[in-house]
Amino acid sequence: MNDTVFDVQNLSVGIDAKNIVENIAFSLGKGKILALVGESGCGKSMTALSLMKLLPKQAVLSADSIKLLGKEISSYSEKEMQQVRGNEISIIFQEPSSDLDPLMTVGKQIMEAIQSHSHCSAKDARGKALSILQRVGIPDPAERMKQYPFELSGGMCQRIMIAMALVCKPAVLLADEPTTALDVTIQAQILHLIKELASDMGTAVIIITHDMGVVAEIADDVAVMYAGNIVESGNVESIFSHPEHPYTRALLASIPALSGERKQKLNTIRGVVPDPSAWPKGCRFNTRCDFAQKECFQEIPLLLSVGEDNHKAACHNCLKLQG
Amino acid sequence: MVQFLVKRIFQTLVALWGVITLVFIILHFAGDPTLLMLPESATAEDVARLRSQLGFDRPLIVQYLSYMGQLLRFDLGTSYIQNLPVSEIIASRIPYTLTLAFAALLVAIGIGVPVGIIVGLNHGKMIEKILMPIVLIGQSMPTFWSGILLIMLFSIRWGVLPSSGADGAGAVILPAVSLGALSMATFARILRTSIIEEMDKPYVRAARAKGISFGKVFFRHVFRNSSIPLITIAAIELATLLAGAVIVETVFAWPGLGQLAVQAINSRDFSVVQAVVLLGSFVYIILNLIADLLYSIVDPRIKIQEKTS
Ligand SMILES: Nc1ncnc2c1ncn2[C@@H]1O[C@H](COP(=O)(O)OP(=O)(O)OP(=O)(O)O)[C@@H](O)[C@H]1O
Ligand SMILES: [Mg+2]
Repeated sequence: MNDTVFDVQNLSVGIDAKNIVENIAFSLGKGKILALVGESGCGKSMTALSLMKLLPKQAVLSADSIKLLGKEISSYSEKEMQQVRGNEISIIFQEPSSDLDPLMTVGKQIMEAIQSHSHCSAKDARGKALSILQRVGIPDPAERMKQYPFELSGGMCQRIMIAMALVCKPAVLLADEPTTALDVTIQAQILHLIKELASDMGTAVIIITHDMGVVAEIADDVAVMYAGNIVESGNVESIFSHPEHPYTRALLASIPALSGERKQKLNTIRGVVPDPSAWPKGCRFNTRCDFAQKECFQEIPLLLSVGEDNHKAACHNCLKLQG
Repeated sequence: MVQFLVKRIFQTLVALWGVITLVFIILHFAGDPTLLMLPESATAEDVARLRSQLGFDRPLIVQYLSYMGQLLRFDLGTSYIQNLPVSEIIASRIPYTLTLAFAALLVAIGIGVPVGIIVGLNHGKMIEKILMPIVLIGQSMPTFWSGILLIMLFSIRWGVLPSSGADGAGAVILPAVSLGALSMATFARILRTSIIEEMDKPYVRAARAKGISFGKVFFRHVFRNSSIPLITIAAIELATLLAGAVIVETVFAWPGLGQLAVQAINSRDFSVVQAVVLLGSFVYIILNLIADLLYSIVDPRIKIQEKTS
């Protein structure tokens, strides 16, 4: 049985006639967790927003296909997208406290999400809101409903955002660095909450993160982004056990070892991510790659299969390894 | 809350006392009305007699204390010119000024708010570039000039609206437009800035991500947040309108407090001038207090401190 809930082909985002995200493709099974990783500025957030069709005004989306639950949403109008957003695909962001309207009680804001997708009475909506708040681990939800965002901690606000995102049981949840702004002690709790709820509801998750530790902990699949492209993708085991792309290897090498020898120097990748206006010709990683050869400066490598289990990489050198 | 109010009332009284004292001093140094009240043929003795009759020959401090004593008994005194209790004169004018001020506020809000929304939502587009200069013209046009312009067009050229007086509902339109123009521009400008700022906030994107329409996102979330500065300003603008009424009422011969003030100043009718100034300051301070209270009602983040520092 084909249980793909979300399938994206050749998605690009352009600003001022130049792409900042290019040729993104992935496919997501029911209840699976895909981690989108990469350094700051590589286009992760833009990719997520484009999937919701919530890009900033000046950004233009183009895609061969964005299939959500078998429906081709790439051609959906704003009105049609409203039916989909919050209902079949939801998103949570990095700064939960500022994602809530400061003048409205959190209860009303959750009820608003419920009532925009089902024609239920305020009483039913309130009941649903209470039960989802309970699900996301908010103590005394009836009291919390009456509070304003400024009265709640960041972690509490993120729980509210998660409640709001999941209340309509969407097929896909996009989480753009959902724990970055939170206390370290809260981060793990929130991650586990997302993982647990998603698996209960059968919701697939795309989680954006810088943290390879997070990836190892909760993701099924990984897509590594560099300068607007996916440069390597596959399931967590194969990516972690034999990363192919020099960039992925460098990223993995930069995880601080939690146990074991302390003396090992933390690897950092030399150089900086090029700005979309200064992407080099050929492989975009060529300015920072230790293995770059002549062709790396001439041709853009394609994302091709480099092993079993859908493991793909976009690197001229990996292809040579394959023979 | 109670403590806050008590503190504010105390501040209000101090401010009022200051205003009264200042006005008293300025008026009395500018001379007294006896010369204006007597015919030109009056002799020096006539003047002296009238002055002592009205009490203007007493030392200033005595006059001041007796006036303050009067006020403490809520007695605004008598107009020497009209020979009527000041409270009666003022009371007969209040409805006119209130009508004018609220009509002007209605004009200001009724036009300023929609214009503010339109330019705020179309930031950087053609329509903003067309409307904003018009708003700025509205703001920079002196009231007396816009008043005369309106009279020339609507009363003299087209003859559709009366140019002066307060007969009939139509009579309030021109003075209200003229008086409201300034506040209208202020509302439009402030709302525009506020909307542009709010539209960029993360909660807007998050609200859209819930799947609600842009209209709902705007009116339920963005507009409410953007109107906070407007509420405070509305109260202050109303006070500004009352001040502007002095000019507008004179231009349009509108029989309100502003016109009364001008007449009273010209005839050195001290007690009337003082009463109008007193009332004006009182209203101004009260409106500011209301703005503060409204602020804390609209924005849950601002709580009136239970304990004042
Ligand atoms: N509104 C905008 N106008 C123009 N360029 C933008 C805009 N927003 C983002 N960009 C550019 O698009 C690129 C991708 O940005 P994006 O926010 O998607 O990166 P990211 O991978 O999410 O980074 P981070 O990890 O810092 O969140 C960046 O080079 C950024 O400069
Ligand atoms: Mg980002």
